[in-house]
Amino acid sequence: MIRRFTLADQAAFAALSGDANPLHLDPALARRLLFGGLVVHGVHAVLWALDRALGQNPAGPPPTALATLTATFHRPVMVGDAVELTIGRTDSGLTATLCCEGVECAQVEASFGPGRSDRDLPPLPPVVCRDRGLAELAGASGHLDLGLDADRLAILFPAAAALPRVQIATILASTRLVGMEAPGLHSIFNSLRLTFPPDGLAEPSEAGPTLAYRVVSLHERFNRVSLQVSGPGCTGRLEASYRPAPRRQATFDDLRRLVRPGMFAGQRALIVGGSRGLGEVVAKLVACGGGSVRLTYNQGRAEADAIVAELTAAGADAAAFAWDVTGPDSGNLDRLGTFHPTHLYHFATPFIATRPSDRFRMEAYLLFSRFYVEGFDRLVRALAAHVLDGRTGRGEGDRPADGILRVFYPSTIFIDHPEPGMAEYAAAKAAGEALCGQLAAEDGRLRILSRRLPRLMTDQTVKLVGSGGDDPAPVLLEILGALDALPPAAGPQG
Amino acid sequence: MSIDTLTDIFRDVFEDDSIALRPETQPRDIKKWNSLNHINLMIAIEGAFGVTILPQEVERARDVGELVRILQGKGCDIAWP
Repeated sequence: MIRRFTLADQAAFAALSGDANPLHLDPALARRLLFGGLVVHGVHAVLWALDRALGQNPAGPPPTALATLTATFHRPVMVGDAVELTIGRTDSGLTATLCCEGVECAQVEASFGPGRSDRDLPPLPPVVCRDRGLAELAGASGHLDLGLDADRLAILFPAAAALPRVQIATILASTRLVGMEAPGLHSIFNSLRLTFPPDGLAEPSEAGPTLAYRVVSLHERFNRVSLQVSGPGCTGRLEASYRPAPRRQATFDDLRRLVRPGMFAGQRALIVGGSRGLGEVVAKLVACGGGSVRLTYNQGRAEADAIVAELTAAGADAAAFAWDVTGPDSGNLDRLGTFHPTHLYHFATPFIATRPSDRFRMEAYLLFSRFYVEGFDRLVRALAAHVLDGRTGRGEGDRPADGILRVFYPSTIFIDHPEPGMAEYAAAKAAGEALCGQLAAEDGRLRILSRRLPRLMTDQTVKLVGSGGDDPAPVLLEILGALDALPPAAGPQG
Repeated sequence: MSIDTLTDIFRDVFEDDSIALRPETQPRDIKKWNSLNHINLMIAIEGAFGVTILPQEVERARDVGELVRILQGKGCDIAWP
């Protein structure tokens, strides 16, 4: 059984569960987080698996109540991924395995028991997503009100809706707890283990049913949080990780200390993929040195606008515009107007996802190639015509004084030092290097510098534990200098 | 402690009683050795051996041989038979 979760599915589950963490719902923000995109709620996948398993129960009456439920989320299921569900039966219940591209993402085990008493539940109260520091979570405790929209449940999980409402509400509260309360905003749900003892529910109280929680262990070095939970007819333990925030790059003021005044005066830089990461740092370095920058973004308009505001406030010439280097219109440079770049920096990239695989994932290689080879080739050729040939029919502007277009192509150290799961990325970057040589051989007015960069601190290299790379500013500043120092003779330099 | 202690930890964390460690054993050899369980492994090792594993060591410990060297460097009495 295969399913692709959609953003609409995400929104419906968020309304049911109350877990509206942006990791699941906000594409622009989620692309900057650990997994590079929208992640399906783990509990959404669990309830889907449970619902499908109950819906195809082969014989006998359907189970009336859960006795235990455990789930481990090994890897994220991304929105749009083809998720394969495999259901197995055990003496007391079932197992379910969810895989993407043959790799296990989640494992679910449920056992069933005699019916538990049930109760009506109020509608879900509104919940605010808490932005807590990791240290704040030490010893944290509290409770979440249980609530359930039975009609919505029946639409989303018709078979699972036959289970006691309070059990479903408790399971839903577990994702709300992790995603909204503790850890809250910066969270990843790792596992849940819930037990529903056979002695039934506590008597209803006037205050209404709640899921109480307490942080029972906190490993700060590993960003790991363990919570104990208890609710009506339920006890359990949840494991979560504290997710690192998007990487903040150095500010204009920080970088000004590194750059000699006027170092890049006269440079007109087109920075493709400049709204964050290495492109952001290059934009700021060039601006610090007195150059003009035009940076492009695909989805990160807000980030690009913020960089432009920072640079213009400091007196620099900066602007940003949308550009999809893989789109059919990517060779149209009308958006540049009379801005004639002297330098091109090509940082456009998809999320560099790694996934263990026994095979070379051709589809991943082709995706990377659309950015690093096809898009790069189209852009360099169009830009050469724009600024060197003046074929666009736009205003003359200031063409490069030396009649040369300088191009930086970021390659990767993974070509020399292969790592598991990086073969497709490295292969596409290597193909881009070969293209650099071809372009320089074809047009003697191009000066192309390619460097195999080490792992540098960006959103792409952020990790749950550890720094995830070196400070990019010194590395990129050296490259900017090297690009300007390229000799007059044509040819790729590395 | 012997390598058996480490083996027991691996079997417990990765829920696989058939695991037999060798210096060259790495994540691709153990089905559930992914980034999430790697952290679980480090936490379990810290508890069992009474050591502190630094973030850069977490990254370095990409095979069992390197992991054992890291633990030996912390004074753990652990050796291959």
